[in-house]
Amino acid sequence: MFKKTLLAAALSTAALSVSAYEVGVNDEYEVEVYGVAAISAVNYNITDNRDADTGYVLENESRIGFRAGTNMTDDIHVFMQIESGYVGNAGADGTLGARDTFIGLGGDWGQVRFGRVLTPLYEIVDWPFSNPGLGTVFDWGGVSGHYDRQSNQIRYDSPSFNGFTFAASTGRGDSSVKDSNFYGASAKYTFSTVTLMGAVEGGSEFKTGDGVDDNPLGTDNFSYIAGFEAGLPGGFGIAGAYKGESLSGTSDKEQDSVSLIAQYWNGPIGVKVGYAVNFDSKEMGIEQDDKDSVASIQVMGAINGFVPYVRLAARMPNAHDDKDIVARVGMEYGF
Amino acid sequence: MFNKLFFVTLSTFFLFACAVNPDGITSEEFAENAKLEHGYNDIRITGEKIYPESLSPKSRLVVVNADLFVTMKVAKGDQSADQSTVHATLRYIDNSLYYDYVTVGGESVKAKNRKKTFRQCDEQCTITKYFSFPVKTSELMTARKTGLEFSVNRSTSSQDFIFVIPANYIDGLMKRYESETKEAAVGLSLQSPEMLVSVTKEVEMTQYWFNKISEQEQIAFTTWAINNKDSTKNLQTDDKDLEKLVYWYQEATPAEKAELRIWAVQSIN
Repeated sequence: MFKKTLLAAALSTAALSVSAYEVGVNDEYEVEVYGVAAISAVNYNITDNRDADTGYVLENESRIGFRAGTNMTDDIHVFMQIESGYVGNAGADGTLGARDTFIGLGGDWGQVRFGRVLTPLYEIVDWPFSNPGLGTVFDWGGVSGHYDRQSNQIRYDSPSFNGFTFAASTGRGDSSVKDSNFYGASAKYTFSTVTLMGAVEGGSEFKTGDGVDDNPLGTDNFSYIAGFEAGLPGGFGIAGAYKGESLSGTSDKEQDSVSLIAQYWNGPIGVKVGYAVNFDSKEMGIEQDDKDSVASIQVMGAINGFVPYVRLAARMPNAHDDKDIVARVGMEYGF
Repeated sequence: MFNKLFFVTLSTFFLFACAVNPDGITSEEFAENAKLEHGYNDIRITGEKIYPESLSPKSRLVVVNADLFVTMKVAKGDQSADQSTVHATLRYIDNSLYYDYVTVGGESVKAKNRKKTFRQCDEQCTITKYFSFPVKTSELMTARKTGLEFSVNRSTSSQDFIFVIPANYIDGLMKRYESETKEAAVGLSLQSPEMLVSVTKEVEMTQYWFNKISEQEQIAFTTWAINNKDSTKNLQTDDKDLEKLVYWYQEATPAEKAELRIWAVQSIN
């Protein structure tokens, strides 16, 4: 009770501070509370495929964070962020610091962040190429040779040079293992409404001992992605990417993937269709029969800050004709 | 326990939802809620935060949320040209493009970032841009009947997100200013806009010809007078009444001109 009361007081105070700052023009210092209220109802197998339907669940991806920043000199802005994980259903994953949490320096020369942030490659994998609902294949499906949101990282992001930007980062993989390090970089170039993007990431002693994606000691990783996003006339847009991920050394696996997305927006209402596939992987040079893919369609809106959406997806694990139809209805509100 | 948690969450939302929809709000209400500050060289009137009207084309430019407030600045006496500021926040669905320029009144400027641009991802990735840009006070004055359109763009030559600051909002700021200066004038025993300036021949004739011309011409004259306090630029016109107005205005002393400018702003309704 004490903690909740304290949290309520902290939230109210911070929120009032934000309002006061927003209305005024005092740029000396700012502290903000921000967050997302996001909940969706999902059934991962509405046709009871393989007689394996377990019913619907409510997935609560709401979270909260704090941001602050001030100028150290005319050219150096110091900023920080602490963000919680998804609150989930019991709050267990909602720990502060679970998502992007860092201290950074910024200026006309770009910004550098120290702490827990997305790797440059993963940022592109995640968006725009894992939406709508393609992450099960293109993000965390199949052979994984990249980190995603990683602690112990130093990341630099450049300013725009006539439409060209780049980012570079390095950090520790598993900080308890010697030589478990990674390096990554990405580049984007925008002309007219087209953005070309690419990224690479590699490292040594990849994800050793994290208990989830254990790889044996001596495993190196390397991944790359090349893609584009283009706005077309009449509210249409397309995006596509090719990705390769590999593990080498003690473990030897590789797999290529493709993601394709098309969207159409009419004012605040949009329709998005996507398809992603992980091709058959190779292990020790031998081709495996483990292709998987997902196709999805999503209808969504952007209404006064709210983003409601409905999505249907056909997941085809291990190729073949076996399809799980996933239905999700949700809404987000960022504040 | 649930109720308390619900209350906390709800309170937070209400506290953050501080922008208002300007539809149905009168300019008098905006004037009442505006904050007025006296600086050494100017008077600043800051309006409340509103949702601007979005005229963005029905394309892939998806505005999740946009709000703004205006700080109108009117110089006291013969100071340099008045410059107001629009403070805006734009949250849009990430499309890999950057929107760093603002066009208002045909002029394109690079937007000044008020805070770091923020990218946030869930089902959709959104970009939240916090920025401000200057607007000539005379531009606002001209727009008090029509609203002020501006666009947030990829470059100085493109036109992407388009918004309108509604007329009732701008009119409210002007009315707040007018009410303040009127009160100040009343303090000096001046009773009405018609009598705000102590009467000399030049002042009397300026007021006479000002009242003879159309409202559009009054706005054009006032805009010119505010932007041209040192009287270095002529007002190009073929209208005889307007010519005579300019003549008598230019005959007035600098102090009279300053008072006449305030009087002119108050007289446009």
